[in-house]
Amino acid sequence: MTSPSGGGARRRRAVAVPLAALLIAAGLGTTAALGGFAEAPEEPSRRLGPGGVVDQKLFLTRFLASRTVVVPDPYGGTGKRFLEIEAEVTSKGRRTEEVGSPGEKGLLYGKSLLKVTPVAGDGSVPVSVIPDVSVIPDEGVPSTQLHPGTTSTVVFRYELPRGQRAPQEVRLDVGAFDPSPESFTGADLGLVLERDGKAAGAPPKVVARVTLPVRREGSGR
Amino acid sequence: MSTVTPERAPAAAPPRPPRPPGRLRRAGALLAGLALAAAAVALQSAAPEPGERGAPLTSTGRVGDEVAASRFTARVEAVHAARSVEIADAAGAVETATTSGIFVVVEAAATAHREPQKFGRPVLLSGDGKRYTATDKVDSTLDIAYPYVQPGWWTEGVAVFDVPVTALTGSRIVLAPGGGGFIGEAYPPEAEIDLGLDDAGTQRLIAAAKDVHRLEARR
Repeated sequence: MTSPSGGGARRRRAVAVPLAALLIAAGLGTTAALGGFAEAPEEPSRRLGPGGVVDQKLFLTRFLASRTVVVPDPYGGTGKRFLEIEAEVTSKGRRTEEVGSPGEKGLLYGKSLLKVTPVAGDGSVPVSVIPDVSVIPDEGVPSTQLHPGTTSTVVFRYELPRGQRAPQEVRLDVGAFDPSPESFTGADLGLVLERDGKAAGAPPKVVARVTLPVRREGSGR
Repeated sequence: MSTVTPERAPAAAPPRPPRPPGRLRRAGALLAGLALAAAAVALQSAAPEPGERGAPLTSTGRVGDEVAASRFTARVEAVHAARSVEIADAAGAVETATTSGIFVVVEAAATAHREPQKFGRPVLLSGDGKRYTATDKVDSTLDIAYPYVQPGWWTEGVAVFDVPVTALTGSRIVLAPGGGGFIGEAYPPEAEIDLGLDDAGTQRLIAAAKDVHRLEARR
């Protein structure tokens, strides 16, 4: 056995370990003070009014107006009232897509209107409205297709329950589509919304909030 | 008990130690190994990309050709352009569909080889690779995708597309059996027929575009 040679040289102090610990602690402290490792919040979602344009990556959408219409009953009843949201949608994608339906359980293009909130004059949220049909009405025969490179006027329609006051305005949370969603199998995923963060159950990202005042009108199409 | 002693093999000469391989043989083995490794690497480049795996097997042709895919044969007979399409239904009511672009009316015919086939919605593939599904403004009973295509005779129908004028040049029409189930078929057959629209062809088609193209419902 050899004993450490203690006597000869001057005793060295252990500097490296405490110094490293101090540096790490300082680094962590600075990081934590600046908000930790969480992603910096991106630009907050924009607030838009009528005519506002939202880039949804695969589509460019101009929100035009909202209005109520009364569709007379062809058999002489009282008819039905609808809340309409009109938007001009330009498809930037590479294939024909369908309009689908808006809202949290929405489909296809329509699901990018993440949340549709009708608001009454006193600020309360009226009873939910019923999504009806979404069409492109202006071409003689209505269509539900959004073709690449073309601009279409899309009307989202909600039936207003009988006896309910029409909302004063409609607030829309608008999302964007992921232009190249990751697919494990290479299978076609269709239209995929951009998510807020990378976690599995992350909610869709709101890129813009649009508020449209509701115009009262007579009979609709 | 008796033991059987196995017959002893005739005493052979002690095995000669193997001769060390010659220099030539060693070089040959090295070359063969390198060649095999190179071939293996080269073969990798022939493997289908993730996007190509299970992609349709496409048969191609031109207007007028009989384009044979594995389960059906299709033919494009004529291509028209129109600014609006008038659809008369069986009851005689008339609807007129208009567009901000142009309607392409493709007259097509098809026959099946062994079993009846039903096409999915026809697709117009533009020169720059964008896919336009046949328009839903036209009654689907007129569509080539509506009837079953039977073996033994040719079934005729149209495919009407609503496209911007810029999509015309270099465009092709794609006919494929409709996806029947939840799980898509791997390598389904597909016929891709070139509409023969080069720059001059596109100009001619637009110049000859009718204001109203009339389609009659069946029966």
